[in-house]
Amino acid sequence: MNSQEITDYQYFLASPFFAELVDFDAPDTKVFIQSFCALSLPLRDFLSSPDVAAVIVSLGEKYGLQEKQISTLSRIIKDLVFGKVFIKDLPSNISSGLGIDETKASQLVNELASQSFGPVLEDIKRIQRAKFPERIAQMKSTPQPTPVQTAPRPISLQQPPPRPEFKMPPLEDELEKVASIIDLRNKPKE
Amino acid sequence: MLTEIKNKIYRNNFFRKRGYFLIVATILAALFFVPFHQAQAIWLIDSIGSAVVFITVGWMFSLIKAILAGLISLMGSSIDTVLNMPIQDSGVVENAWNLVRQFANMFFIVIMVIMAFYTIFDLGGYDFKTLIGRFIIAALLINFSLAICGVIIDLTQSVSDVFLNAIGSVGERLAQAAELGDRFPPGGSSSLAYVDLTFWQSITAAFADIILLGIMFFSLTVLFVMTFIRIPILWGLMIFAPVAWITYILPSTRNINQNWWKHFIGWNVFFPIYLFFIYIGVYLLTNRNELLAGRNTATFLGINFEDLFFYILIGMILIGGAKFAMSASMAAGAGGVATGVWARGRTAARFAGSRVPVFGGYSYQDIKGAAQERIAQAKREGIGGFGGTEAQERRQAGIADKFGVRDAKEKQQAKDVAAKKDRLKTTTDPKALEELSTKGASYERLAALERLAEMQQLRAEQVVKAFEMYGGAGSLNARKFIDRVDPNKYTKGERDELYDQVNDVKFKQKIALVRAERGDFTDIKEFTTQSTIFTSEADKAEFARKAKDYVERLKAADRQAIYASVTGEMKKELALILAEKGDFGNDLKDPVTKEVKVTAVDRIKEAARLFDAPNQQENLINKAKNKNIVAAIQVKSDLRLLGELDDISTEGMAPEEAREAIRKATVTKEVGKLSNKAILEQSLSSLKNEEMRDALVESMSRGKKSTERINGLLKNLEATAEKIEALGPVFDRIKKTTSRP
Repeated sequence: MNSQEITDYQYFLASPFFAELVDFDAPDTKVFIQSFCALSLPLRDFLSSPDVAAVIVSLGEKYGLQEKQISTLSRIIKDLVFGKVFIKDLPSNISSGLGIDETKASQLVNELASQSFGPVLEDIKRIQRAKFPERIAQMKSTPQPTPVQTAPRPISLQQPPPRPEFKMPPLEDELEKVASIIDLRNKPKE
Repeated sequence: MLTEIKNKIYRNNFFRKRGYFLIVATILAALFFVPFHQAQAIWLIDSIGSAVVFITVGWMFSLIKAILAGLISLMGSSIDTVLNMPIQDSGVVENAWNLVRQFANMFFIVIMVIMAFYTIFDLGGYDFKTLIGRFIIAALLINFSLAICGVIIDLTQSVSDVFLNAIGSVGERLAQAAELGDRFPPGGSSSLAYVDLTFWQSITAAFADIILLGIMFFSLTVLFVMTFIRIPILWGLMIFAPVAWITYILPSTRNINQNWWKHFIGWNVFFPIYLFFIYIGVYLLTNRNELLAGRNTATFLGINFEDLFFYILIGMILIGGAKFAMSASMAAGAGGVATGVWARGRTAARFAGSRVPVFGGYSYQDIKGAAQERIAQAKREGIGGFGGTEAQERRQAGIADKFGVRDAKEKQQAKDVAAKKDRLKTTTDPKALEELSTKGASYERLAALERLAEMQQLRAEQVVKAFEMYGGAGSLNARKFIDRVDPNKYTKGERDELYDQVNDVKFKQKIALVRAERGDFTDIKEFTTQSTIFTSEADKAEFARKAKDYVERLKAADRQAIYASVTGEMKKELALILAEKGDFGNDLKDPVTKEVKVTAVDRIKEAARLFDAPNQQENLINKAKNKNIVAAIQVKSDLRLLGELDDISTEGMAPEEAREAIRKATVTKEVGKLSNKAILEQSLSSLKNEEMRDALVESMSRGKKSTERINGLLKNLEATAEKIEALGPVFDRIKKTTSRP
């Protein structure tokens, strides 16, 4: 995990634990903290780690995200960890949440996964299986999708740059593997 | 001159000692040599007188010679008879021996009575243990004493026979001594006409023969007497042999036995020794001609001096031999006795020290040791329930107790139980001991119970039983016994039983301590009641210390209730426990109005003031600090327990202001030193304190790694939702202090 030094400000901005957390006395926050305490230690570490925050900050800077977008990205990652977002929908969620095109979002996810998901991959898979059993079952029944190259959705009036051919980087493959594994073709006996 | 010579001779001691025989011989010799030699000139008178004298003397000498020869012959035949006389097969001896033996047998009873008395009164020397060996030997061998004498006589007789056979007939051999009468035959006639030097020589030769025959006679007389008296002496010794054996038993009569043996062996050994000398003498006599043949012998007045000396030598051998044989035989007898004593001692010593198995695989040492132990045991415990020093001591103690002798019975009881317990040390079967604990005398049952206690096999009801048997409360033995009982070895139910049934305060306290350690209390009321069994403050404090785990497991409210109900040292101990548990870290609020009644600072301060020494106060505050650092440091400040800080300058400040500055700096410093775990521990109590939050924010913001600290707190296993919520304001404050780069 390559991380850069970040300030306390950036930490509170990009850390999934503190992302979009305004008031500790708020009822939602209390629920969140209860859920947080129920997580495994690696996931608790992942959500509050300065390193993960640094990766997010770094990616935000790379993809030209605003502070608000970085904070939203962190919140989406937090939602993924808590099982509020299906992993297959992560790029689309980021795309819609951040207002960036899906390709960019996919690239962002790929990079994010490659740089920070490693230690918590198994935990995330476990949560995904528990939270989205139907989606996983559905994925099992349908053939393995090939990467779809959809037309880029313009986000601005500017001519979009030519969409690069989607290549599955090694860790994207890992992420894909996450998704494919989550389709439980090789679901372990519970 | 003649008179002078006579007087001189008479005065001479030598002649006096040798008796009249020699004196007469000397006078005659003097008369013969001196006066008549000079009287030859006075021819007529002297020759007539000389003839008369010579005829008379010659006749007398011939007579004496004849008598001596006859006596020698008689002695020879007598000696032959005596030497062949049997010693053993004598009816007189056998009958007399029987009589003496029967008489001696009676003394066995007397000796047994003596032994019994000495054994009963435990006197040394004549007791059963010392004398039984000799007694048995004497009782057995007294009946064979005559046969034993016969064996010894036969033994010496076989040696004697060697010499007797070699000598042959002593009388016959000595008869050859008849020749002695003509050893110095006269050279001339005894007629008056031939009274001359030759006649003198004849007289002299006759005189020499007499001397020689005298020597022989004397020698044979000694031989005869010694061989003769040996027989009645040996008979006497044989007859009294049973007495010798009976006197062998008692130490005071043992010298009689030894004397008997000395004489018996002596008179037996005498004979072969004397025969040896006789043999030499007879050999020399019978071989005289060969021994002296061809010698140029010196003669004077017809006397062959070599012959004379030869016979003197024979006499010396025969007479001196008798004397030597007697002294040598008696020495041999004494030596025999001494050797016997020595050999017996050596044998006994060897036998006693021997480990060689001789009796059915056991050595003498084994059997002796076992027998001694058994005897000692019999002495101690008695036989068949009777006698024994232990029983006697018990009776004595019983009487002493009745007489009011203090502790007499208890001491005896302790002694009896210890002795019996020692005897039970090899009994390791609890069932057997259980059985023994239900029967027999009180001390025997107690010993069995003690053994069970040693083996940690004593049940609670048996402890109670033993305690009561020892005499219960007030009995020293019971106290000692109960001291050895470890309540830890029993279950809670058994401990309760022991607590209720054993009426001994010390033991109850011991159980109370175990209960405290194990938390054997149904509620806090039982705990506080239990504490009242201790009277000293130190004991109460120990009780509280032992109950630490139990108190810690209680709810905070229960701890507070106990703390409120006790005093003194016990309260101090509980204060330390409560401080450690953080029970003083919260303000006490009114349950209804929620108004703070007592602050945490006041509570810690009150607890700290239980202690007098500042270091003890600080100890309690430090324990409380783990749960409420701000309050604890405030108390330290209030009690003037905070020292100066190097990085805080209080120069120019008022004392109160300076103290406050130091306090605040100390709080910050202490908070900065807190670990994540400690922060989380305090989060529910002291983090509600604004000053604590400020200090924590300050300490966390000051560090470069505040984000790592936050991460560390959040991922800590101790971080519960409640604690994270409590930390929320701190995180908020830190967040607010951050600014966009």
